[in-house]
Amino acid sequence: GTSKQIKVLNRLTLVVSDPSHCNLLRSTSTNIRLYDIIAVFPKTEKLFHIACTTLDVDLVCINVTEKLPFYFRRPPVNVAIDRGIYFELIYAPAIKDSTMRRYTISNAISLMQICKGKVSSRRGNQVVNSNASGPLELRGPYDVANLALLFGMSERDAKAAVSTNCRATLLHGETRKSACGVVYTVKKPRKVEEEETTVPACKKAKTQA
Amino acid sequence: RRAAPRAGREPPPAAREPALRSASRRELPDGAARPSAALFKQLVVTALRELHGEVGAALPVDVLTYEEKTMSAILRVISSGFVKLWSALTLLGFYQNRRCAFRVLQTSPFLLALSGNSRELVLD
Repeated sequence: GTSKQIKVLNRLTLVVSDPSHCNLLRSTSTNIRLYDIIAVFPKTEKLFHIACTTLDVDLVCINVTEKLPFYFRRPPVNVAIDRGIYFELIYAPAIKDSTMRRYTISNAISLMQICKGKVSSRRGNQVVNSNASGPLELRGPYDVANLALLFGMSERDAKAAVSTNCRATLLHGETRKSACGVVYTVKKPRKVEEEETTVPACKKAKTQA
Repeated sequence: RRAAPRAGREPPPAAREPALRSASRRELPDGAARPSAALFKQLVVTALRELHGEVGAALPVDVLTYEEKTMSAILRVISSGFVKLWSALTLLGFYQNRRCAFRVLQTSPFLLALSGNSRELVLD
């Protein structure tokens, strides 16, 4: 069969530790429109609340390399899920260091307790760092889905976290670029013989009478 | 030599089924010494100990076959320890201070299913 070409997308991650850093997102600058996916990495609880409720982003990154300085609260998380924003966990630090592993798992579990399943897990951007160790920090999709089971997700959510949630984030990014929304259509093969039998039974009785 | 990663996951077996088998392959940067079968088993136990502690390391894991050339093996584990073993293998990062990666190619409760991989079939 034919395979589609690999599409390379651009992604921007903003690390915000101060409310003034968010001004870049609020203004409609042309630089922002160049990126397909925009993610924000809030460092304080107030910024986390702002990111979930008002900021125009696709992903909110959860810190895994250190203990979270704030606890998650249910209201901003619910608002974010309603808006279609996904939360991101990276697993590449967990491969390198055992302390990071602990923080990753504990932060992931606390996030899961609050939002119960609508999380997307991704790999870190470690591929850029060095030649040999870059690809070796990637893992296959089913391996990552199994890791998500460790974080406390159900099997269905774990598989969705590496497949459907990621696609939803991409569509959310496209929606953000457009004015109102995105409709994605797929061509379905049509069966011709169905058209003759689609007359409902009650209609048949009337014409016969 | 990088093989294209493939992994399969069957639905979890019935409670009566005691064992699950997984075929997994290791990848090392080129030029490193390949581990022997005994060293491979030690690596698996080390991975379990690092992630799941002493209880994890005590999980009964068998290495059924091991090919030194391709560094791929078939492991057998009790089905209750399946998630632990798989997650421990995924998160293993270092072997003798060198980076390494585990890739699980196929998992199945039946050994016969490991002889063919439907993900390697190609459409014409």
